[in-house]
Order: sequence, then structure tokens, then C-alpha cells
Amino acid sequence: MEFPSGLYYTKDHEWAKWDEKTGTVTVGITDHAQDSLGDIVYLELPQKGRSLKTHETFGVVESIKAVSDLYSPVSGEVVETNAKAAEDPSVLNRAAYTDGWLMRLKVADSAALSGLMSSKDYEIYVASLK
Amino acid sequence: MRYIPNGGQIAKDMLKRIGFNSFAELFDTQIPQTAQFKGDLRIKEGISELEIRRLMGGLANKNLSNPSKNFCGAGLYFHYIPSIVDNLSTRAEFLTSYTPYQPEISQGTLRYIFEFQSFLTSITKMDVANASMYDGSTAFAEAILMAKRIMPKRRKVAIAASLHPEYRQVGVTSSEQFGLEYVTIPTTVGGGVDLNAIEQFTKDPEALAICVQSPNFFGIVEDVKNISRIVNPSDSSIGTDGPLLIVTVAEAMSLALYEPAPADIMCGEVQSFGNYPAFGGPAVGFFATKEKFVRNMPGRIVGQTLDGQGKTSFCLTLSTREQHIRRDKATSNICTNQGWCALRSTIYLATMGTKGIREAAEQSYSNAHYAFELLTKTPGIRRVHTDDFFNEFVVEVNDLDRRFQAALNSGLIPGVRLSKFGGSRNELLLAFTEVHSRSDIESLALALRGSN
Repeated sequence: MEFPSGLYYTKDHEWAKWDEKTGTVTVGITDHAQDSLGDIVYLELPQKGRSLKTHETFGVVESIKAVSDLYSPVSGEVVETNAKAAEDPSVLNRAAYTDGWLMRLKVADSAALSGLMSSKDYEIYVASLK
Repeated sequence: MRYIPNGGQIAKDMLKRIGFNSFAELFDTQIPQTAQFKGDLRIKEGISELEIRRLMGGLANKNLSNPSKNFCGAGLYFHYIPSIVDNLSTRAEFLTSYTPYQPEISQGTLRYIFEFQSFLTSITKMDVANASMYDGSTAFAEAILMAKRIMPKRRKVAIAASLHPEYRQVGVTSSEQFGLEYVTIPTTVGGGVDLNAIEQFTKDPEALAICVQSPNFFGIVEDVKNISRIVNPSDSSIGTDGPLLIVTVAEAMSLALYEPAPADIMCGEVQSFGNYPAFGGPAVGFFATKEKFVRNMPGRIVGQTLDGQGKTSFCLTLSTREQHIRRDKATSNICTNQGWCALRSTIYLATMGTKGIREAAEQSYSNAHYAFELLTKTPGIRRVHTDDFFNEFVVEVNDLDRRFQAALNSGLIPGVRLSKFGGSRNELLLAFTEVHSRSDIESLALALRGSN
């Protein structure tokens, strides 16, 4: 199970990555999430331009076992979604932290991420679930 | 399966919560006094089985239940049902089985549902059909809710005035809590929808769905091809283009005669295929849509797959979106299907084939048109609409009260009075199928002359 450092994590098993240059946060689901879901077959992503609040549902991920809501880790405006992943959702199983990203949010500043978990904290959290 | 009766204190608490002290009080306020029976049944105590059969049989014989002397349609139709349908569908394996919650173990059930879906996609020319709905009106309600899921920001639903009034009622009741606004598409003198009104509505940026029925409530065959061209359902992609086109069908037999035009959702009633009108039900709804909308489709869907040994088998598809798994976030709160009635439709369609249902449809059409000729030549009876109809039409009858009663006295039910649905007191809606013979139709015309 991978827990890359430099990312922020939520209890709903999303990751968030801050990009200083563009002022955006990239969001995806964690390795643990894709592993628990099994083969992912469908993704519903938000429209560009939509404003999201922290913990608001922004989409749906569907595997052969379950359909789960996706929750936004921070507040912000959707500036881009991953069309390639929507076309071939199995990329979330193969590369949850890279090609399997879901959306980019424009946020006011990186302070929004301060409430999230570090890679170390998330690893402990996942271990505690077993 | 265990029933969980909430008796005693729990029942009292539940009643109190909704403002009643007893069940009697609850029923008293909900059931009209005139429909309540008080006192004892007029049956002597301790009579034998033979005596009770004689008594009840005598009462049952008072019903005017001979289908060839009954000309009621308005959403339920008496078509001939080959004996094989009764025979196979009442086998215990089918009659007593409940919806399978461990579905893959019930391959037989999944198989016939798959066949039902396949028949419906072939008849409606749509990409996908589900395992059935409770009836036509609830299928229609689900269609409105589905449109709202596809385009959550739009809120205006146009419903044709010629759509079945009960479908409309159920559709509105089930969807009005979602903040929708309903617009009525007027009926032309011909009896069909006003195409100009439809064209106007499509330009409204808030337009969510356009709902028409064909043949419509008055029996008129709508110009669905033209409606479809105006609304252009092939173009509506999720949430961007114009409103969705919802086409409902109450008399499924018409689909054997009229080519369906492209729609976003087609839904309605398939009682005509192998199910009796049975004084109002149970009926069985169908629901079909385009593949791109499949994840927003309500209900159950069975798919074909290969098992571990590579053999063809059947499974529930997309059930992760159903209520028993996804709870409050389910696509819809229908989590089952109308299994047994859908089975009867499946057996019926397999028995009749394309040619068989076409013949039944053609005979229904020609019987209705023969009746139309005869009736509109009868003094005091006039046509109401000018467009062509399938197997049902409306006439205006002078002094209908008296003539209707005279027909009943001669053992005929001449049709459904439109006053029941808010129409005029002299309007009568009559339906014809292959069970009516020429002489049945002639006796109807005679009975409605009203001279005797």
C-alpha cells in the first residue's frame, strides 16, 4: 500500500496535492480506496466552474462491488477534470496518485489544506481501520 | 420471510404520532363513508362450502365480465390471451417465487427477465429496457424523476393534455417535491398535441422534459416522428442541450403497428401483452432508454455474462445503484420489478411472435374503425376528433346518461365516460380489440341508438 509524502489525505480516502504556481489543488482517491473498491468501472465527475465546499459530494466512483460518493477535501472552484480517467476509469486502479487524478480546484490559499492528514497520519489511520 | 407486525404500544405510538387514537379513527378519516361497510355480511352462519360457492358464484355472475361485450379501454385492454400463458405462469416455480435477493442462484428468473428486456428493446427500438415497473403511471413518474437526475438544473416539465390523466397525476405527485413546474401542451381539434406549443417549449432554457403519449388518451396516434424531429432527442447530451423527450405508451399493442420514433425515454404499460385487465390490475410497466442514460435509469436490469466455466449465464447489472445496496443514495426507490406479470408478458410475446402481435393489432385497428363507421352514422352520435386513431376513440352522444344505462341493461358496457376524467358529460371513450366480433360491434351500435 502506498502513502506518498507531500500529499494531504482525508478520512474519506481522498488525496489532495497543492500546486504553488497555479494556486490549484489536485484531487484523487488513495491507493487504499482503489484497493478496497476493486475494479473501477465508472466515474461521474463535476462540471467545470462548479464551486465546491469542503466535504461536498463532487462525483461518484463505481466499482463492480459498490458505488461511492466522492467528497471534496477543500473548498474551491473546479477548473479541470480528468477526461481520460472518465473514459477509462481502470486507470484509478493502476495509478491512483498520478494518471488517476480526478479534478483540479482553484483555491484561495494553501491554508485550506491545513486541516487534512499527512502521509504518516493517514498511514496510521488506515492501519487503525483493520 | 418474516412479517414484523407492530402491535400493542408501538402501534399506539405510531398512530398518536400521526394524530389518531385508533385504527378505526384512521380509516374513518381516509376511507369515504360511502365506501365503508358496516355491520355483518348477509351470509347465514354455518353454511356449507357448496352453499357458499352457489351464493358467491351467483353474485359474481352479476358482473358484466364478458370481454366481447365490454368496450372499456382508457389504459387497460382485453386482448386474447393464449392458454399457454395461464398454464405456464401458474406453475408453482413461477407463481410463488419472490424477487431473488441472492439473484444469481435464480438463473431461471434472471433468464426470463432478460428475455422480457430483450423483447421490449426490440419493440421500442431503444438501447436498454429494465426488468419492468409496477405499472404505466409509476413508470411515467420515474421517467420525470430520471430526467431531473440527468439535468438537475432545469425545472419545467411539459405534459400533453392528451396524456393519460392518471399517469399525469401519479407523475406530478411523485415529482413535485423536487421543485418542478408543470406546463400543459394543448390538444388540437384533430386530437393530437399542438406541435407549435412543443416547439415553443423546447426553446425555454429551463425546459427539462416533454411528455407525450401515443396513442394518446383519446386513442389518437400522435405524430411522434415530427415531435421527435422537433425535440431532437438524438442530440440531447447530458445536461447541455434541449429538453428530454419522454414518450409513454398505454396500449402496448399499438407498438406492433406503428414504428416508434427516437425518444430519450419510452415507458408505459404492457398489460396488453398477456395480462388481464382484471378490474384494474395488477398491471405491468415498462421502461426503456438510451444506453448513455443507463446509470440514471430506475429499477432492476439483468445482464448476460459468462460464468466461471465459460457458460452463458445471467446476473444483475448495475445493482450497486439499487436501494438495497445504496440506501438513500440509490438511483430510485424502486428496487424490485413486477416479476410475475412481466413473466406473463414474456410468455405471451414468445408465443405470439412479431407476426402474431401484428395480427392482433391489425384486428384491433379494423374493429375500432368498423365501430367508428357504424357509430358515427347513428343518430345523436358524433365524432369528436379528426385525426386517425388506433383502437380507441371518443364520440359525443346525445343524452348519454340514458343510452349508457340502456346499454348496461342489455348486458353491454359501452365504454368509459370521460366525465370520470373531467371531460364532458356526453363524451364516451370506446376501445376495441381482436376479441370483439363484427356482431358484437353491431349489437353495441344498436344498444347505443337509444330508441328502445
